[in-house]
Amino acid sequence: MRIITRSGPSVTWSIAVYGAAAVVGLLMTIVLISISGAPVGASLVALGQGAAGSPASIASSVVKATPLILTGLATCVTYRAGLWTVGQESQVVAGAAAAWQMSLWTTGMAPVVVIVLCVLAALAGGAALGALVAWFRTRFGISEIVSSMMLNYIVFFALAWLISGPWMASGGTASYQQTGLLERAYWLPNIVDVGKMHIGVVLALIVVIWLQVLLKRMPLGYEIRAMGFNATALSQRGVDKRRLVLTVMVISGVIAALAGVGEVFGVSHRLTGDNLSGMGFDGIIIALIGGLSPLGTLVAGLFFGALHNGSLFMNVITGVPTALVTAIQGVVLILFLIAGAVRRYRIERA
Amino acid sequence: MTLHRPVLRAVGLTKRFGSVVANDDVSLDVAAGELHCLFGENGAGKSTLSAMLHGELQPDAGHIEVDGRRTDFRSPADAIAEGIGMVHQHFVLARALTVIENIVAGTSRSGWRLGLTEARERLSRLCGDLGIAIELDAPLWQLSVGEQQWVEILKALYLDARVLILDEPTAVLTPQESGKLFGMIGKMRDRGLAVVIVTHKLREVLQADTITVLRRGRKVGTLDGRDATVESLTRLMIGGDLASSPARSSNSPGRVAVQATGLMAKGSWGETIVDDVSLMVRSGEIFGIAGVAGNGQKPLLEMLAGIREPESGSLLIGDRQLEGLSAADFMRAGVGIIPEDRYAEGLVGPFSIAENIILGRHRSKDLCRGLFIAGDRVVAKAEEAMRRYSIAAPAINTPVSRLSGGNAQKVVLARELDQASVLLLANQPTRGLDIGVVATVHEELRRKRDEGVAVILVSEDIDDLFDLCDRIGVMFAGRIVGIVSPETTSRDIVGSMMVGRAPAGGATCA
Repeated sequence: MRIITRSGPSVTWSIAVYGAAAVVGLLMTIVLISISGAPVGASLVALGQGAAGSPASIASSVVKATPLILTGLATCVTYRAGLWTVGQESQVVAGAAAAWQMSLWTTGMAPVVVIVLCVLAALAGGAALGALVAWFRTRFGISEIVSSMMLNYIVFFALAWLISGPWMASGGTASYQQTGLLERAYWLPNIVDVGKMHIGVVLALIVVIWLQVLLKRMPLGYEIRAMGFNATALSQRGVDKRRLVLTVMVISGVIAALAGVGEVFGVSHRLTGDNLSGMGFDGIIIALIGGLSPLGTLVAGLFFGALHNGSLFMNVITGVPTALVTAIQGVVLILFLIAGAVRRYRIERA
Repeated sequence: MTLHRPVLRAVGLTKRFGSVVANDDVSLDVAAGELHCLFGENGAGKSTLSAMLHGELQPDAGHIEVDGRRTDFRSPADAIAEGIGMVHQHFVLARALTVIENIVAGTSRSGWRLGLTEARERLSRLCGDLGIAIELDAPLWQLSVGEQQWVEILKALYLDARVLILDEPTAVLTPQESGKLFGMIGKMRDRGLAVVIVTHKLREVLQADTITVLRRGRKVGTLDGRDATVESLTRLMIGGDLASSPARSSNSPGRVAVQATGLMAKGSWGETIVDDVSLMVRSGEIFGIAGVAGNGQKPLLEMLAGIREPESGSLLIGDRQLEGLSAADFMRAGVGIIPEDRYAEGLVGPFSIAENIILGRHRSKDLCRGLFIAGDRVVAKAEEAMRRYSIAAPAINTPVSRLSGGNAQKVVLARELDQASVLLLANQPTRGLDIGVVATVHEELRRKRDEGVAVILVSEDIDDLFDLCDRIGVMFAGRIVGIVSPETTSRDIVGSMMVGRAPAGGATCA
């Protein structure tokens, strides 16, 4: 038996393969729901209603999707460059924490000034963390996988210290630590008056389009793709690899940090130990499902945002645990990775 | 045909890859005690044929017989069991293991024991028979390339090979090592072994007993070695006559294009790999660098291209001091490089032809419009390159990883020849290419020279260097051990300089 590369897989074949993966994913979801003991039909209806049954639930799904799309995009740009960072998680937190610190420093100023400064602080926080990983790699040859993973722990515990000490709200307890609530005036403004449709949603869309254009049409995007495929050829043709690694990691940090500031200033309005956790890792999965393309990541992000949102409603109506979504996410990732391989290769029996 | 009964026989072998027919109804007989040569251009189907003969590929039609019995090789292991041994062009050896360990690894037929004692006896006998001296306990990395090839051959014979297939065996050898190899082949032949060599070098083919010539996947003839001539073989191989190669430059070289002084480079373990090299090349001159691979040619060219920073030394290219500057600065100064390994260093495999053509120039003003790469200008540039170098590909957006070696090299050529306005560096630019593309490459190097560009050509093929170069520097152990003129020096002298022997009595005439 041999594995053979398909020469130029056709569009219909691609659609058929990914369609089959989606159908299998749905079937496995049904299996998972029935294992949980809930009625399958009613649960699926509840899932759908919760995800997109009303303007409010759609808005809520989009808001849920926003940080996932952003961390997904942060993954796209690095993975296309061949930098296998897993630090999106800590970049989100660094962005949120830097913004929070800025909000403490600027309390009392005009809301516009505060919000702009806080967002800028978030970007700086994410960029700094990305730059640190890039520096470890280009200066000391430390794998970005290792350094970004370790930084996740450091940032996680730093946040735990901040919200249990300097930033702890009065009335917080040892078991549940959080900051106080952000002053209403400093919340990210809503773009439409439904739910929490904050301005970060628009920013995420802008980043999707910008990244898509960057990768497809701009010299930097060309370099990013080339580095991912053959860094040697690229650097031998005069491109400074160190600077490129730094640029990519900073871009990734900035995009992930947007997710952090959007969540804290637009949705939860306070920093807690757990409201940001998991977003970075979800972003990796979503970017991979989206084929590491910004538009694919947008679609995958919206889909899983909606599932997350719908699962809350399903949990209320039929009692299926919300952890179901995490399981579906894993199942779909595996199915899509398989589909990607099936699309490109075929097996020939000798 | 031959007097003996064939030990290995291929009957009507056909192999297709998609729509490409790599081998079309190829038959051949290999007799015991003969040297059989598979000859043809690259892409003629020699490698596919030898891959089927040793079980790596399975034919779509036809079959293989060993000693008159029909076989069905599912893997190289099946072929080895039938006594078919294979020595690949790129050796399959473990550098950290010793010679004997390399030979014995994976061959044990007695469970977990290595059986080194018996192996040692048999191997010393084999070495004696072949007339070679090799230290069985030396770690492989200490061996020269030629000696590593002996290990591959011993490995096959240790497994009782009766037919030994050698793929391009002299591609990496010095002339002296090649001579020794053919001596060994002669001894194997005398012992009744059948030896099949795959080659496209005419000089080697003429030593064979039987020659099978392939062209475009078909067998176009089987010749007795005694009847074959260079002319008849060439005609068969390319299906016509080759234009004879034009002479060296007639115009006198111009001003100094490159002046390197005291260049030093260190390897990853701190060892000196380029040792105090100074050279001067004028524009309108082709300067050859002869040497066995791994004697510092690659790091030297890398320093001249700005890819590797010299430990010390100075480097003047055009009218600029460039040492310590970046590869981008070297490119701006008009330096182009055709790297040794086009896929690893020259091309981005999944990128299209068009994207590869602009690699390194993707930020230049004439390819960009504002913040964006101007797609139409890239397309125009790529289409022009495809026409100019007759790159055979379905479209300009075909990934270069799908191109044949020759067409991929033409993509590199198109980009780098355009780039090189002062200095063109070429490291083995014709390696693994078929004779048609080789001619194109040589022609383009001459054209650059005539345009007044300085060309530095690194090659292991002394014939090529003698055909093309105005002067030849020979590298050995990181140093340039001598600079000779092809007009007044013989190939043998260059060959012995390549292995570190100073020419006896200086350079004599050819």
